[in-house]
Parts: sequence; structure tokens; C-alpha cells
Amino acid sequence: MKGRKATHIPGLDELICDGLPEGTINLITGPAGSAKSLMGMHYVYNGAKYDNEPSIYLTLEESRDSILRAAKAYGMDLEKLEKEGKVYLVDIGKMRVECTASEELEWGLASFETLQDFLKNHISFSHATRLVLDSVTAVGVYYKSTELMRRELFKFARFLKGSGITSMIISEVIGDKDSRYGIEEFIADSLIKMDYESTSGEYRRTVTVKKMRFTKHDPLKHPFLIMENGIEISPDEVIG
Amino acid sequence: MNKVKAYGKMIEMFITKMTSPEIGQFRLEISTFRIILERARTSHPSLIKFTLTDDCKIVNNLKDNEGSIEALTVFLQKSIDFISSLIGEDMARDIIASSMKEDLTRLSEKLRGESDLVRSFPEPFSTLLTDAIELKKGSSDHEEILELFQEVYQAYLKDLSTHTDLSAFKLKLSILREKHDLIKYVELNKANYLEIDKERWASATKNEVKEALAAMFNSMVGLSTFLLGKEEALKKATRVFQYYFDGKDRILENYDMMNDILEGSLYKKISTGIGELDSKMRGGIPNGASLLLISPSGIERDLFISGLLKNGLNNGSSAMMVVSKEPPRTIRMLLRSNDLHPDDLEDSGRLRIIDWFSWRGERIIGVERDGHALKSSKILSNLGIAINKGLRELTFSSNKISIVHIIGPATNIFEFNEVYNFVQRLRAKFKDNDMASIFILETDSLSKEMESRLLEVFDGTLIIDKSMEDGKFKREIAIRSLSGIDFDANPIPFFIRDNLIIPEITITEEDLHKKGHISKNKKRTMKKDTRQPSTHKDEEIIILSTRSRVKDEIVTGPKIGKIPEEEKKVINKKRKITKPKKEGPPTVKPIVKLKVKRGKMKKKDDGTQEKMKKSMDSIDLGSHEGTPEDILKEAIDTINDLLDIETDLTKDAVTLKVHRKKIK
Amino acid sequence: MSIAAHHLKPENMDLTVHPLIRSFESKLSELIGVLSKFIVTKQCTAVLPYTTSDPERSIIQKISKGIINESSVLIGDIQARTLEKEFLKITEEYFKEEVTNER
Repeated sequence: MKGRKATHIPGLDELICDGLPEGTINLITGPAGSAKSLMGMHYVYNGAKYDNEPSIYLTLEESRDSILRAAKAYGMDLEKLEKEGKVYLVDIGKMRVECTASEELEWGLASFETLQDFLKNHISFSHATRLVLDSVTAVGVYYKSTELMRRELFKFARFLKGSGITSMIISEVIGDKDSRYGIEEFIADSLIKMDYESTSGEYRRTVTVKKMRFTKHDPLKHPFLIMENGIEISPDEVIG
Repeated sequence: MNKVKAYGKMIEMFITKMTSPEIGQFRLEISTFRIILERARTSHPSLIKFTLTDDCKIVNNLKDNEGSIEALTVFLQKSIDFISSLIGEDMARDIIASSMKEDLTRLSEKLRGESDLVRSFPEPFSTLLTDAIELKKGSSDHEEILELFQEVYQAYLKDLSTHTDLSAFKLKLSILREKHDLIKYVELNKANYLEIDKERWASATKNEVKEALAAMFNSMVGLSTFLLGKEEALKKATRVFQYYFDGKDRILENYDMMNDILEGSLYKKISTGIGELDSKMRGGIPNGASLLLISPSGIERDLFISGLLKNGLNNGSSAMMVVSKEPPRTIRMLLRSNDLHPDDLEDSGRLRIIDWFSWRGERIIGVERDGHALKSSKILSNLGIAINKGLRELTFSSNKISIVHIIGPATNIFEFNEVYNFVQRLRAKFKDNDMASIFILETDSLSKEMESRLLEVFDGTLIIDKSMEDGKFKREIAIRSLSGIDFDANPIPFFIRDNLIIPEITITEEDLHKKGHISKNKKRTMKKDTRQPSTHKDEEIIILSTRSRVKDEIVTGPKIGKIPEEEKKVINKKRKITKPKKEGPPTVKPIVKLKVKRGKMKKKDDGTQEKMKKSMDSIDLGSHEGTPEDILKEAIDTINDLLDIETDLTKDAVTLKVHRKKIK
Repeated sequence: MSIAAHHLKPENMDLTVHPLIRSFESKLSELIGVLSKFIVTKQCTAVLPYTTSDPERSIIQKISKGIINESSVLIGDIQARTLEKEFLKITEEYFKEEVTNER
């Protein structure tokens, strides 16, 4: 395996042997509000800021403004890095909003084919080495059958691996499942599950690295906090 | 290091330099040296016993020392000849001289006194080494050890600088300057080179030099431990010992350095603030040990904790307090009342308070910051996170102390097993951080079964006991367990005066006999006094009680009993010159107030005893000059002398109660 | 009247086939692939109500500007500025040729 892409998220790199293995697809799953997008923002921002690596954050649901605002709230000035050409905050969601459902289907705005075509061209001029796709759930709704979606996702995954980019694919799940469509975890090299649970009358955020190919990792459930600078995972603390 | 080894090392250095990219266009391959070695074997067959590894190490299987030197000389000569044939003799000499200058200077130290051997080395090594040895001859012993340590420090700093910008070491150096005058003449310059003003050190005693050098070395190892963990720090220290101190036994022994360095760095202990307890623990709390303090809540426990913190913080340690019974502001007040400056300590990262109290009165989400304190919500995982953050925020210090007061309150909220697991993890965390910790548990707050399970987690247990006897409190502190240490389990009775824990010391007759201060026909028994009138009818009692405050003074004093006039003069002279030494108290040193009472005990009608003040007669303290405080200081020192107790100036107080039994 | 101007007439309203617009789309597709078609079509549709009264050059500039704005969220400001310069350049060349042809 080649090198690592450090996330620089306090505590996370310790759990995954210093970073995500280069060229891998890493699935970040969890229920709504479990800070998946925030983790993606950290990954892109930190990579550009600390490792000087051009990074793409591709949003299909949240608006660009909302992502910029959320990132800024935790001290991440994505706009500044955008101006420096280190971060590309790609708002495909905006394009989706501007057209009707039938137009969206017609154009295939949120299809894997379109994303693949877009990324292929983008990577060639941006030389991006990190990608966050937020979220695969938004792409899934485009497909009429899960079967078709799986097939296309599989092709998309092959493309990503071929491109050499190290990606985080965000997937929103309901309940205890590891993925929305039951296939994401198979195409991904790693699965990081973010969650929250109630204990002693409080909500506690948790993160578990459930799978990570090519590397040793800590598979235990760890608590994490969202502090003034964003996510802080406590690798020394274990739940359960 | 024997001379063959030193010679071999020199050739290894030579090959390393000649094959390193730094040498530029004249760089040779290791394979070239192998060819030279192989060819040299034809003229000198014993070289067959030598092999050259890829990392430029010479493996010598020839047992004969003289033979080895001869063989190595042939190999070295052939190598130099080869280089000279390539680039000319002058150029070869210049390259060897410039690239190996530092190595040869270091080597000249090891080959001192081996001038014959050095002369037999091939040129240019022979001349270069002879010159280096001649240069060294002019150095004084301090210079020699300073040069050695400068090299060690430099190597260490160079290594450390790859992990940190050395600002932590600069900070540590500034703290050390408070304690060691000599370190004032040590500067870390902009290029991270440690400059020692050797002339300023020249007039210092060996002991002063030793202490200052050892303190600096310890702080480096401490910093390394902080950055890399104990295991890695130990490895580095060992490597330094092996490389730089090899063959330096003479000079290290001369300064009695070895133990100080080894024990100082790696087996450092933390004082509890009570000298008696430290000595029963054989030096204090070992770094990284977690002790359970079982104590009733009350002033005894508070004073023990504040004494431990005060002592540690005044000696440059950093500390963390995990509190559950009071808010951080109360803790800060407590520290202020002990002459500490919590705000400064928190600003400089030497103190962190983890607040597990406030969640009871306010809503805390996860972990929140309140100034420098970290407030945790109720759940233990968040408390763990807050502690981790606190640990990360503590600045470098070779000693770290944590006081954790959560076990009792936590077991009231959570299942015992959850608390047990949490404490176990916490203990492991502190151990990793080389932090000595005290976990407080209220007496009888857990069932015996739970308490005994909990004991398994810790490295030791301290017990503070308080009971009523004859309408008065009897207080004791004892060590119940301490793993790996031959501790003294006898409890230390103590009393409290002026917010200090004052241990009561037992003085045996034997001690006095040993010192020759009591004649055989006039025996005195000095024993533990429980502050109750003695039950022995015919006892005379001497009570020497002390009260201490923080002030820099050296305690000197006369001896009990008749003191010859000339000795008195010496004592008085000593007293006059014992002015405060330095500014700022790095350690707590006592100012002592003394009451000297001597009286017979008489039995009262109700059967108890009381002291007969009227019959008190004075003791000859040897000197009656100065204030009562001075007299007491002298008396304390004298008794320490009598008992062969080393005066521990860090002790807050010493109380001696001497019972004198009349011999029938 | 040029061929392009012919397409700008209300009755022949498919701006996407305008040679300049096609050049724009081609340039943009090098950066974002098939999404360029969507952006260009959207912009051409958006500008439609004004085409009747605006002269050719003004319409093209509006579309060009719209494409740049839309695509900047996909390709970033730096790349958008480069693209803008390229659009300007090909626009200038196009109209220069137009004038020459008409003469």
C-alpha cells in the first residue's frame, strides 16, 4: 500500500494508523446529525491546509453557503482555500434545486455517470487528491431500482480507485444498518460509523472504524465531541 | 572501552564519512572498502577474521588484541593509500582532517594515555589524534566533564529538536536556573546550541557541577519522556550512555555521576511533602504510580493533598486535579492559601483543573472550557475526554502529579463496574504519561468487597486514619501497600498545626547512644508522643515542636547537651553566614519556631498526668544568642544530627517530642 | 445577417447551436464534462426573454457571464477567471471574423 492521507482530525488518525490509505474509498455512515459532513469538511480542509493537497468537496444536498458557514463555525475558512485554488467546493445541489424533478432525471445531474464524467475532467485540471462525496444517498434517489444503483455505484467505485484519489463517501443510514443501500460497505475499503446514543440522560457521540482494508485499525467504539475546532475523537476512551 | 574497540570505531567512522554523500565527488562505495579489505588479506591473512557490514560496521572475530590492532592498521593504511592514489596525498589528508575533526576530538579522549598506540596509527590519523590529545591536556577536570556533557546535551537536543521546537526545554532551563546557580551560565542559543560558560563553572565544587549537570540531563530525559513516552526515552538515554559515557568511567566516578543520572532520570520519585512518609516509601511516590488514598473527608486529607501539590508545584512539577466535590474556584482558593499562584500556573500550563462538579448545577454539553479549567458533563466518557485534553495541555515537566477525586461520587451514580473500568483506564493513561497520581476514596464509602477489588487497580494504598482517644483526635497516615517497594508499614502519627501536617517522630535511645550523646550510665528514652500526657510516672518530657512557613533559610544549630566552646563558635559563625541563598523558593524550606519545655510529669488526683511547669529546667542548647526561632532552628538541626537524619529542607515542618526517662 | 444572428431571431430560438455558445460549451466540458451541456442550456433558456430586443453581442455576453457564474461553483474562482478570459478571447475573435466576413 502506498502512503496515507492524514485527516488531521484529533484522535482519528490514531485509530487508523496515521490516515486513510492512499487511493481508497472510505465510507462515512451514520444517522442524520451525526457529524458526517463535518468530518468530510475536516478531511478536505485539513488536507488542503496542512498537506497542501487540492481537495474536492462535492455536495449534492447541502448548499454551498450552508457548508461554508458550518465550516467557518469551526474555524475552517474554506472560502479562503478556495481562492487559493486548494479547495473546490462543488455545489451540484444548487443545480438540482434549479430544475424540476423531470429535468433532473433527464439530465442525470445526480447520477454516478455524470459525477464520474465531472470528476474525471475536474481531477485532470485541479489535480485533486482528496474527495468528499456528500452524499451517496442523494445519488441513490436518482435510480429507480436498487439493483441499477448498485451496478452504477460499482462502476463509480472502480473509476474512483482508478483515478488514485482518496475519497470519503458519506452515506446517511437509518437505524443500526451500516449503509443505506446495503452495497456501499462492499465497494468501500473502509467503513467509519458515526453515531450518537443516549446514556445517563445525555447524548453521547460515537465513532467506530468498523472496517479498514490494508491497515491495522482500532475497531472499538470511541466517544467524540464537537468542540470549538470541530470534531475531537478520544482514542483513549472506549465505550462498551 | 578497550583500545581495539576504540580503534575499530575510528575506522568505522572513517569509512562512514568516506561513503557519505557529504563528502561530495570523492565519495567511495562500501564495496570499494570491501575490495580493499579483501586485497589487504593477501598481505595480512588475519584480516580474514574481519568483515565489513553494509552499515560500515567492522565485525572482528579475532580474539587477539595486539593482532587486531596490527590487522586494523594494515587495513586502514591500505584504505588511505587507495584514497591518496585517487586524489593525491595532500587532498586525502585534508579531506580526512576536515570530515573527521569532531570524531577524532571525541576519540582523543578515549585514547588518552595511549600515545604509543596513537603514534602507530597510519598518517594522517597519528598526527591528528596526537594534536587532539595535546589540546585536551590543558583542560581542567570541570572542563573535561563539561565538554563531555555538552556533547551529550547537543546530541540529545538535536534529537529532541526533531520532535519539538525546544521551547519546552528553554522553559525548563529557566526553572532550573532558579535552583542551580551554575545553570544561569548555560544558554540555548538561536541555533539551538547549548552554550556553557565554562569559566563561570570553574570555581564550582564537584558536587555543584554534578547536581547542575544531572538536573539538566534529567530535564532532557523528562522532556523526551513527555514527547516520546517512557520506553522511547529510556532507549535514547541508554544509547547516549553507551555512546558517550563508554570509557568515561573515571571521570563519571570522579563526579559520582552515574547513579544520579540513572536514578535521577529514570527512577525519579515525587515527594509527598511529608518527609517521614517519603522515607517510609523509600523516597516518595514513584513516577507513574497510582495510589489510592483512603481517608475520611476533612482537614487531614485536604492538608495532605495541598502539601503534596505545594511541594510538587514549587519544585517545577505540573499537576492536574480532577474535582467532584467543589468547583475550580474553591480549588484555586485552596492553592492560594498555600502561597501558590493558580492563575499563573494555569496560564503557563503547569496546572489543569478538570471540573466534574459543575454538571450538577448547570447544563454541560460534552466537555466545555471555563477559562483554563475543563468542565465535563456527567457521563464518564466525557470526563475521560476532558482528562485527556487536560493532559495534552499540561506543559512539559519531568514530574507530573494528578489528584483524582471521583471514585466515591461516581459509584453513587454509575454501576461499580463502570467506575472500576474507568479508573483502570485512567490509571493506565497516567502511567503512559509517567504521572504520579493519587485517587481519593472516602473511608467506608464502598463495601469491603468493592474496596478490595478497587485496590487491585492501584500500585499502592495510603490510609489516613482519624479516631478519638481520651477526647482528643488521634491521627495517623500509613502505607498499606506499595508494589515493588520494601516500604515501612508503620503508621506515622501526626497532628495539625497552622494548617500543616506535623508528623511525630520517634527517637530511640539507641539512636542517641550511637551518636554518643548519652552516656551509658544515663539513659534517655525518646519515643513517640501522642500529645497526651505520658502515663509513665517518672518521665521527664522534652517537647520540641516546630511550626514552619515558607522562607529561605538554612537551618543550623547546636547540639543538645554540653557543647564545647569552640563548637559553639563554629555554630554561631555558621548561623551568621546562613543568609538567604537565592531569590524565589524552589523548595519549601522551614522557618522554625521552637518551644523548649522540660518538665516532670506528676500524677493528678484523677489519675491523669500533667506536666509540672514549675519543675521545668532548661536544656543547654549550646547557644543562647538570637531569637527563639534561631534557637529552635539550631535545636532541630542538632536533633537531626543526633538521629542521623538528613535534614530535608523541603519538609514543611518537623516536630520532635522527646521523652526522657529517669533511670532508677 | 450572419448564421449565428439567424439563430437569435425569435422564431429560430435555439441558442445552444450558436457557434460561440457551442465553443463555450466545448471549453466548459473540458472542465466539467457533460454537466456543461446542462449549464449552457440553462443559461440559454434564461436569457431567452431578452433576446428579441438585445443585439447579438450583448446576448452572447449575458450567456457567457451566466455560464461563468454557474460553473464557478463547480470549478472554483481561479479556473472560472481563466475560463472567462478564454470566452472573451473567442468572443472577440468571433466578432472580428464576423465584421470581416460582412465587409
